[in-house]
Amino acid sequence: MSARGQEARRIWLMPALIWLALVVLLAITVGSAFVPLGAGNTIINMAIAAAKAALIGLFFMNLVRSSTLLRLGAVAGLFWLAFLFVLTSSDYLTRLN
Amino acid sequence: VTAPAALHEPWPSLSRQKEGVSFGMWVFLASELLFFGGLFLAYAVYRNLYPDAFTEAARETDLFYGTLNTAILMTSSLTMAVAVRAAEARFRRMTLWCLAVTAGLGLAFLVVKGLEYQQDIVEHLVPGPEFKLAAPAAQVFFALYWIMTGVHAVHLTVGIGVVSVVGVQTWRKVIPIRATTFEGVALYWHLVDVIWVILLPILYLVGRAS
Repeated sequence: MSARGQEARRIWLMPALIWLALVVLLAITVGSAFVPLGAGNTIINMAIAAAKAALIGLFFMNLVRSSTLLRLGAVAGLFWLAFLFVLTSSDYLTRLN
Repeated sequence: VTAPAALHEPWPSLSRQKEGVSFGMWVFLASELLFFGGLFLAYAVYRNLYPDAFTEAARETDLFYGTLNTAILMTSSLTMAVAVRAAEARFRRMTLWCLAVTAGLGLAFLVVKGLEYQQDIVEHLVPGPEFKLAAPAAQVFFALYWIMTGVHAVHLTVGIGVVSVVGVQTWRKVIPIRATTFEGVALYWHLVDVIWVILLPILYLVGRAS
């Protein structure tokens, strides 16, 4: 195989593997949605969504090989999102009626 | 005519410029995350208050269209990621093809979403006096469904426009293959995919087993 061919292979390999993992996770989450697990359905579905988002963030958005500055930028959004959810939940989830 | 330079003011080097592009985009994406976060929070609060109505309403969304569109967007993220890597390796043709396929898959998503919206309208799933379900909170679910998927579709439309323009400008060599543009565009595209990855379980997968 030519050097360019090998380079082209290298370019596709990692993204293709991540895509395959995403497709498998999609199949699991849609399939499991039909299995009655009560609250377990929501937990599985949200865990898989988080795993898919992590794969996209780490590999497609390159956070695995990014500088600390970029990683902090990415985490900052999640950090403030966590405040939004925690503070609101501290009201709604603690109401007595 | 000289080829357009990839390096712009005020950056001393391409690597620093690339860092600047990515950081600027991440700051914007963090604000996007909070924008969609407000909607996710509203959904969480209402679903917690009216779990039965939300389950009943979620069963009315079309899982086939939702799953198909998830697969389409994931594949578009694959070609977008490859476009960036191909540009880094100076594979101009591969970059152009991947950008074209990415924009094409984005359009395919919008077509599928349009078919789904049409079906939703026919089935009286638009909140209002003609609404299909009796439970008032079912209308809250569908209000969130229309707003979330609608705002997502607007974001995707912007993404398709940006990817198309960048693709055409790269083809015309207005944007050199060494440019740092691709990385910023890709980050935005992937975030729009991430938002959909979260919309799938909360809008389409609820209430399928019961």
